[in-house]
Amino acid sequence: MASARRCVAGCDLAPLRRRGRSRFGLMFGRRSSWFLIPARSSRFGHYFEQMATILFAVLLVAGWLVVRGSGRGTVLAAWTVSLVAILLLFNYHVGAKLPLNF
Amino acid sequence: MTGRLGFWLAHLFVLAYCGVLIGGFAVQFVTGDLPCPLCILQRMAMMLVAFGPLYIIVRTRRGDVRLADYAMGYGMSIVAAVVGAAVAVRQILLHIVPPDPGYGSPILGLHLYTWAFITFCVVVVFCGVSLIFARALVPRGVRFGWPSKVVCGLFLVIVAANMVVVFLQAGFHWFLPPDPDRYEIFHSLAFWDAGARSGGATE
Repeated sequence: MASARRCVAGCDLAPLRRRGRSRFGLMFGRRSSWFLIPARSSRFGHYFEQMATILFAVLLVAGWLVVRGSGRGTVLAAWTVSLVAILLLFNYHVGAKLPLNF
Repeated sequence: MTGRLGFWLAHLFVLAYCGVLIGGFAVQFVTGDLPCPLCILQRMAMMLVAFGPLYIIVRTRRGDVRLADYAMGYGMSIVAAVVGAAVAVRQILLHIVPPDPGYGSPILGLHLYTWAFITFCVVVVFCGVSLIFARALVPRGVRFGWPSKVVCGLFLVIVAANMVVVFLQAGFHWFLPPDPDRYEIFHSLAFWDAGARSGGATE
């Protein structure tokens, strides 16, 4: 039987709990929902570090849409997608383990 | 007159952030300090901030810019600047305990993430003032000429360069290391060190 400290995906929650933080980071509080992004070590959490390269590609596409003079809605949509992706990546980093040598 | 001022201030805004991003590259390649994941997030936020004035500049192609477009541009910048400032504050607080030397080399006495926070604060103030005087500063009687094309092109080139550099840094690994000290792609492809293949990036 799995330890109570471990979640189904196998990530150790103890270090984050010691710092008074959920595995979903500060932004989303302690509740877990299916749409929240696991902070680290889960199967899907891995994808949010590699997202840096993909996110720059998204930003490049959004910038190209702005520069070519797309409509207001298109620009706003591209910008919003980029912003949300950045916030998701930030949430991932907020919840990541830190080498704090206190 | 003020309409032109608003137009050129938007150019100055984008150019200033292009300068900051080029400065980040200079620190990366000259001093060898590789950007950490939070530094990269701040670069992304800077690009999102610059989308606002870029949008205003590009709208001049269709003639005079509407007040709604002007407000939307700087509204986008404010929201992105708040997000960028949150990331910068996060990194400042990570290194705020006195024995911690901070991440990377200080520039003019402050670390890059502190400078980033200052730029985001300046953006919020600039956009606020621009929106207060929006009716006077909305670009009117201006033309989308070669300076505007150069600014737009430079910005896109910088975004593309960042994408390439981050790919070189992350390589084919899922994880970008929190304290990076090498370009993973070269080690993964064994250009520099065949023994590094077994190491890879870890967190």
